Amino acid sequence: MLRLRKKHSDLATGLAFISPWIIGFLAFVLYPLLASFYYSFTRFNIIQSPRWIGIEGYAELFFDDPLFWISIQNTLYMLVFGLPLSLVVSLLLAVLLNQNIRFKAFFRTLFYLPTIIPAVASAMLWLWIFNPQYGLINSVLALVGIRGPGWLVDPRWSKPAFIIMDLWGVGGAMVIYLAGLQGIPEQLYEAAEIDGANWMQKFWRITIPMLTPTILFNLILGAISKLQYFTAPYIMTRGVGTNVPPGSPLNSTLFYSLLLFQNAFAYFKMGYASAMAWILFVLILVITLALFRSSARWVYYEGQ
Amino acid sequence: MANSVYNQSLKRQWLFQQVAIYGLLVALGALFALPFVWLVSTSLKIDSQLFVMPPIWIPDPIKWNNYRKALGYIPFWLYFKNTLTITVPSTIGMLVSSSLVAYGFARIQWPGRDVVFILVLATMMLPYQVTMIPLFIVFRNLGWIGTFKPLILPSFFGGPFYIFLLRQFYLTLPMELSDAAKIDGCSELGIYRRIILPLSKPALSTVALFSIMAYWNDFLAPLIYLEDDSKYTLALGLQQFQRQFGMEWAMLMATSVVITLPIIVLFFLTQKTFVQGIALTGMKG
Amino acid sequence: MNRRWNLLIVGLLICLLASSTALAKVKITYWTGWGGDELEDLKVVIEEFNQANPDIEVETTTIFGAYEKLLTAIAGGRGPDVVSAIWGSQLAALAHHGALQPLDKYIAASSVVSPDDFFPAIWKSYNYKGHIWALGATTNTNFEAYNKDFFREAGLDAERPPKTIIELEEVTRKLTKWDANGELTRLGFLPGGLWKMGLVFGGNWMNEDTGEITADDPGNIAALQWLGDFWKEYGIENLQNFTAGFGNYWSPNNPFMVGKLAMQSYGEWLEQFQIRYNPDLDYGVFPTPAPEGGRENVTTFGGSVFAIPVGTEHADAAWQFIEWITGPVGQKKLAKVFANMPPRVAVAKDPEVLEAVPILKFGLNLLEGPNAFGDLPIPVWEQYQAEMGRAEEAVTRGGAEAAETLKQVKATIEKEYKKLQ
Repeated sequence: MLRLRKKHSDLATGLAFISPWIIGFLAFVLYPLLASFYYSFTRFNIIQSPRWIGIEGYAELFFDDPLFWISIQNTLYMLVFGLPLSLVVSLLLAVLLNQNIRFKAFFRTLFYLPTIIPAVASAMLWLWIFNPQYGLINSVLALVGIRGPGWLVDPRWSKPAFIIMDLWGVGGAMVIYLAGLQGIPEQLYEAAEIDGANWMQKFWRITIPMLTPTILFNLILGAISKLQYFTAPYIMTRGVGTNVPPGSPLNSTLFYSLLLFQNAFAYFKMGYASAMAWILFVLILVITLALFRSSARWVYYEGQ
Repeated sequence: MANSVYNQSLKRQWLFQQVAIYGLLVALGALFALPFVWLVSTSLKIDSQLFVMPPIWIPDPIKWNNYRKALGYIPFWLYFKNTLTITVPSTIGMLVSSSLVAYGFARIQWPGRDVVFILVLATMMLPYQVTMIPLFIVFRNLGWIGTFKPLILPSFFGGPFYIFLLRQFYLTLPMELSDAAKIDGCSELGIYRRIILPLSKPALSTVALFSIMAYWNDFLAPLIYLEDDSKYTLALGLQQFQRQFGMEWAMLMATSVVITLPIIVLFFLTQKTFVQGIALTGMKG
Repeated sequence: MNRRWNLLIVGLLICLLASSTALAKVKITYWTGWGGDELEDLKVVIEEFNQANPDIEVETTTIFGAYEKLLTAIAGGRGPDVVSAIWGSQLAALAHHGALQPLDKYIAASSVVSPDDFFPAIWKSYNYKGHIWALGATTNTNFEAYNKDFFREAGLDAERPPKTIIELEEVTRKLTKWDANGELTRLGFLPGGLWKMGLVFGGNWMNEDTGEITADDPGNIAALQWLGDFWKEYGIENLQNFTAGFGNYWSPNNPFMVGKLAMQSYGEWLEQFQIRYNPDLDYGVFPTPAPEGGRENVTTFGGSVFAIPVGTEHADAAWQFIEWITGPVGQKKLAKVFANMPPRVAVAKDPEVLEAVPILKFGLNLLEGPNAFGDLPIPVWEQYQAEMGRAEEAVTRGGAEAAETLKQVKATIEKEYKKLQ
């Protein structure tokens, strides 16, 4: 009896706390969400009323659009190879900057800097860094006698180039790790030191387990951002003054969102783009659910 | 005797560690500083030195005038004021709403909680390109198009990114804190305000920082919802350097530096809050 | 009694009329793609319209190149009264999908606009399915530019640019320089732009009478093959790496301006480029050389156009503004301010305009010739061009087979085109 009452009141309190989100969801999110789902079964040119075509759009994507599969491959490449690297580098930087070092503020700001710079401006810098002849990377490689690849102009190296470039943007994930690191009580480390643990042991036995909630966050957010990868390739792979659409060379950087955007606003195929969006939605949802399901085994919450 | 040898080796080890750490920091730091150094350098160049290969790092002559010209090119102070008008209330709204909602997902047990939470995350998973038009219609029906409202008001209903971030953080705080307060007769709202919020400074300042940056740099939403260029923001102002035939690169870079500076200063100052470890002494362990 | 009522009604009517004329000043919103300095210059021109038309006030806003903003706003019923932030290449699609109002009834009633005033090819490009959807105030043509100093250096006649495609190939070889390591230091010419090259080689991209997509026309295949052969001759990797070292086209480090290319395709902006970026450059221009059986003096043209989106309440006032800015007065002002080609023949031949922008003379001849081509009047034109770009890349950089690649382009575009019929 008592138990039942308690549970009931918890539901009310819980809903009360999340009520701002519920109101916002009903007011601004639900309709666009349902509308785009409906569009995905229609031919919709943005201006005129959508016309119902059932699953034709989905079928065309899966069976009759080679660019769709190319863009999926390119995007998964970023997820599989880019994401783990970004996560590890940002974690290492955060741990490094969490040490008892001088000029901490200065260094933290330094590592965060690349994420603040407007994308249009930094794109120009990256075009130089990856320049096959004069770029920073190939100049350094030349010093040790290696002839570097063409990077952004070579279809085999254009995606690795974006992965390298993304490492400069790990400042955001780093800051989140830093915040997470502050949540680890100092006395855990003190106790470990008394037991004679070295820094390796402390890192693996205390830092990592205590940081797992933050790692889960960066993992899920990282996966979403890689699967929706858009701004950098949109700016950098479009030849100005030519009619080659974003995604060059040879479609090697044609990422999913680029293709989606092209369909939606350049080709007036908003229905088709919506079908693409919902396929991506399902993909991300499945990945997220799998991560959550698995997190019960590897994420440690002090508060549960 | 043995003690002093031990001390010496300890000292050597310490020294080695220090050299390794600072060496790494300086080397990596230089790499990460590169984009900004390049930005500043480009902003001071004359046109013919802009994209020379290999690049010129120290402009000659140094053209300070680019800054004066750039700030005169767009109504800088008006755009600055507009950007602040959007960023400040939105960030406050985002902080208040997201921290409340996150509390509901992290510190209170209620049936269906985790399903609803997945729904919160799911709203991030659909590419914005396909919800842009129906959302525009929602704001139009509210009569908000052409005003700052679509850019500010939604922030008062929480953002999934921030809710998730805060939820993860709240979950790391020991439940005993809440239990103890409950026994003392504290309500959930009381626990949120008196215990959880003060302990969440690092996470809250992270949310504030991200939110400020997101609103400060947002390009798409102001572009879509504003109709009068006297309401435009700095991020839109950057686009003004695009000419029919070419781009005013040096001025674009100069304005980028000016737009970036407040965020750098802000980060430099607020990163202190990340440093403050949380004293949970005596709570657990 | 009756009379008094009548008086009252007449009085009321007079009041109403008086107040309505006082309120008659119509405010119309105009979205342009131009920003910065050019926007300021444009606003000065538009202010003259506002002065001359006290009953209309045009409020100008830039939306940069943001097509998604325009489409979202029109879809949401908040589009502008006039827009020029659209390209000729997007016109057929916008018209087809119902984003614009046809201008026919206004043109029929206008004393300012008559089809004969415009270059015939350009007028045709405003037409889609028998209606006129927009009018241009500016346009641009294209041709090749060459560096006379490099010609002299290579022992070539600096006053005799290549006339045929064979000559172009020979001159390119002579102008190209390699260093001791076998790396390119200067390239004679970098051909590109499949749409135009197909036309130069005598190809057609569609049969406008039957609506058939003819991407695999023999001329287009020959052009693409030629482009592929060019890349093979100089080495795909060599060209890839060398062209990656080019500065931004739209910057002072444009490869032609800094001497990395001896010849390059340009438009009217060449003159402005040279004045701003390299005043010492001694250059000449020539039409794109054609192979035997191909087309000589080919130019494509494009540019932003002025249109009235659906849903505006001020279409009449919007038309008055378009009539003025695309009329003789507006075009002359814009040509002088922006150095663009005016689409009206009389304005393009106006001595005052030609004196201000001498390079227009060259494009003028191309536009008057039989081989001036505008965007194809099909709603899938954007995708068609994108697929051409992909095909060009696949052949030049990927070594794909030209005929097969273009057959695929044809199949893709036919499929899309069919969906819209």
